[in-house]
Amino acid sequence: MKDYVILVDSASEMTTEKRKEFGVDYIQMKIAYDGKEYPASLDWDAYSAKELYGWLRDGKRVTTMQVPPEDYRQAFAVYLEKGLDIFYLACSSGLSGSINAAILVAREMEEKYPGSRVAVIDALNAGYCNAHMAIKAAEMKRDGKTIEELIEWFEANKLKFNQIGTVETLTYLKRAGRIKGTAAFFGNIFSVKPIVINDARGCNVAIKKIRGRKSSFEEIINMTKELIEDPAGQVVHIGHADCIEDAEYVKARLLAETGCRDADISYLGPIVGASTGPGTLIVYFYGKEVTVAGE
Amino acid sequence: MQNSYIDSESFISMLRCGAANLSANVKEVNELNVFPVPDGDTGTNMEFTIKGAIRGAESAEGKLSEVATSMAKGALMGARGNSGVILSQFLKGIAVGFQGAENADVTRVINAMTSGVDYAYRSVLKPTEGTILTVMREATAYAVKMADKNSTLESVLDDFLKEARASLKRTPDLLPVLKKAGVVDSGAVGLIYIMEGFRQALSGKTPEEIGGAETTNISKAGSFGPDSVLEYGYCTEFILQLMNYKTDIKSFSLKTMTDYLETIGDSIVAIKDEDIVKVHVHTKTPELAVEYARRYGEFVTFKMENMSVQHSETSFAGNACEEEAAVTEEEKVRCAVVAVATGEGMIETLKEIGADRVIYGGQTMNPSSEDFINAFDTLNAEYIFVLPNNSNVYLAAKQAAEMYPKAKAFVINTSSVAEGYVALTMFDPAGTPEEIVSAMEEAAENVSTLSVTHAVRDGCMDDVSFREGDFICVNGKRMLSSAKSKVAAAVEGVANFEGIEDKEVVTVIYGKDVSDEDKKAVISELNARFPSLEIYELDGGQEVYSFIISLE
Repeated sequence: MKDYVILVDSASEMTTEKRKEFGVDYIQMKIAYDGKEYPASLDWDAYSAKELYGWLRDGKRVTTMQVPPEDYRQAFAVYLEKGLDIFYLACSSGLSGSINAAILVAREMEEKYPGSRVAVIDALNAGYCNAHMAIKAAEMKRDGKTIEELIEWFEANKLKFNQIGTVETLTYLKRAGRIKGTAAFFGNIFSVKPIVINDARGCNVAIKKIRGRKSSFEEIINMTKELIEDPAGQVVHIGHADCIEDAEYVKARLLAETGCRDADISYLGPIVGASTGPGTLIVYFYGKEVTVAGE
Repeated sequence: MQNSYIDSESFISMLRCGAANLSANVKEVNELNVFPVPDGDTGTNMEFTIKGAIRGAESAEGKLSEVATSMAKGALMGARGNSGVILSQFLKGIAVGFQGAENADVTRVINAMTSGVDYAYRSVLKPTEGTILTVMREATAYAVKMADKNSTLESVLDDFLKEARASLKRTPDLLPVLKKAGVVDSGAVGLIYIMEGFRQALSGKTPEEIGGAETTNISKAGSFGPDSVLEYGYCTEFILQLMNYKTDIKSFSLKTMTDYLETIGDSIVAIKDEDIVKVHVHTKTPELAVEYARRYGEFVTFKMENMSVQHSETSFAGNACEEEAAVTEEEKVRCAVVAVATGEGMIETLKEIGADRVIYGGQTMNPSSEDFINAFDTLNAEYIFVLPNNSNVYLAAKQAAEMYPKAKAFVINTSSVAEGYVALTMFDPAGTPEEIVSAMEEAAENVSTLSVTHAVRDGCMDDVSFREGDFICVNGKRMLSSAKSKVAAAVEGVANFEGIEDKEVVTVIYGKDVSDEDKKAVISELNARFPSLEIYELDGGQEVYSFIISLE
């Protein structure tokens, strides 16, 4: 069997340690801030998480950028040159157009490197869901599964990677154009905390309104309890946009109430963080298949 | 002079002019961007792409096919964003069409454009119609159809542009998100600017001439000119002061007026408040509306806009008729909300978060059942949800709801504007009427309302004594605190509220008399005293009550 590499991108939130542990690499997206481009680094080496959220809290506009085809070309070439195939879990097509460029370049590179395979999977998710998927892929690879077997498994199971989040305000998601739903649902009401999930078509959708931030955590915890499957076999992940106390609170509750093996906490990365804003908290886990389809 | 073929040199000039024309209009293209994500960068992304194409073309020498191949590579390198990637593929397809050619004649150019469309379609996972793809496809197909042995490159591009502009106009019909935002597809506009530049290059223009030229504003141009027809009429809005010498104000019937307006227009919204009438109507004959209205009074204000112009200028900034758009005959809405409030800020807030109509009234001015019916009549809804926001108003609302024949109306028993506000925040128009009522009622029931106002006499109630002019804080009939300052009365009132330890969310609604200093003070003192509470503020602008405080 030909060896292959598992790739994610900056939208995956996959931390330095986890990428190292599971041998996963990532394609770097970019953000733009104050007229300059910065790498959307998951190692926080160009700016710290505190800095990024500081910019956002100061009301600075941070925008995220698609991966240009040329970046894909260069990234894919590195592995193809080494004779490796590629299994790339791409940020949801419902959230970024990057995947279109990725597929285009994948085809081109397969022609350029005859006999090679560049598989691009539409994760229909973003954030740590994609890291959870990459970890699963790495485990399957370790068990000797081929790229084709991975593709088959992920196409059948990708919607079982759940994410449930709450944001301080919908301003960021709306400004980034990354939320669907009826206009009336979204009055600029700061006391209402929307519960946002990723729907079956890979789009962010606000499914519920909750009054008050604490109640929104309660709702996330309840939904996680209801939707999680095989809790003992998984490590739930909590991503936060600079609200560590809230993340710790939710973690303690999830450990006590879901029976999950463990729960990790990390900062939301630059792509998801800039698109959702400070105060966002998202719980990622494996569970029942997402069937909600927003409008 | 007409051009019958393109060579390397003229091809590069075309690219340069195309880029210059796009650059001159990049802001417009960015502002149109709503699909797939409204991040306002379509124009910039396409600019990167076409500039990449130029770099590529400039780095090659020799025959057209070599320059074009290098151009396509440069476009791919520079491509960003969806429209950028699609454009780069269009250019790549064209380069493939030029394969092996020293130069390209009309036939070859047409074939290359067709190849460009093929490549562009294949580049997208799920091609979406109503975008740059549709416009390039339809325009190319038209150019192919019109081509004959007399065609020149100019005529081919003229045909392309003619159809492209027509196709662009149709994009909102194919892509609802565009229609909603009132724009045409941004990527398509970018493409047209580039192709226009190509065309100008054929006429011998230089990029400098184009860059400096006045922009054409494709997305707006042509909407209303000397040859246009008045398609939509005028959005006409006026406030009429009813005059005693012209009519008997008391018996003036709004319905008679709206009945007449219906004969000359649509989208009618009319509201009467004592001796003032506010009217909104879309009509092709505004002069008739003017004449009719003056039978009863004189205009306080009058505004009229040509809606063809308005239509094309509709953007994120919104337009005058956006709010009323829901009332047009064909667009019956499922759910609408009518609320009662005073205070400019509160009325605005309620409208912002989903109230379709706000009737002015409350404690001192109770709206009548008729006021409710009149408000219902201005809506075209299947279900109407009513927030009376005062116990004295509840019955009138209830009676109106029960007798109203044209929609099913539900009254949520909100007894303060704070309850009404909280209830409305939980309004989800996608729910069933029962779900909506229960979500709103549940939210309202959870609210305790404290009000801070002036004491009008000395007294003592519930062990709280107060002097005339003091500020007092009450919850229903219960006196909670009194103080010389409104801020102290509010904070003490919250502290004395029985059950405050079970509350999580506080919303402070500021009255008209509250200074910025007082606002800061009340929030910071509440934060200090109750660190576990989430505190939100609203500018209500109401009379009588300095603060209305909702505790949930």
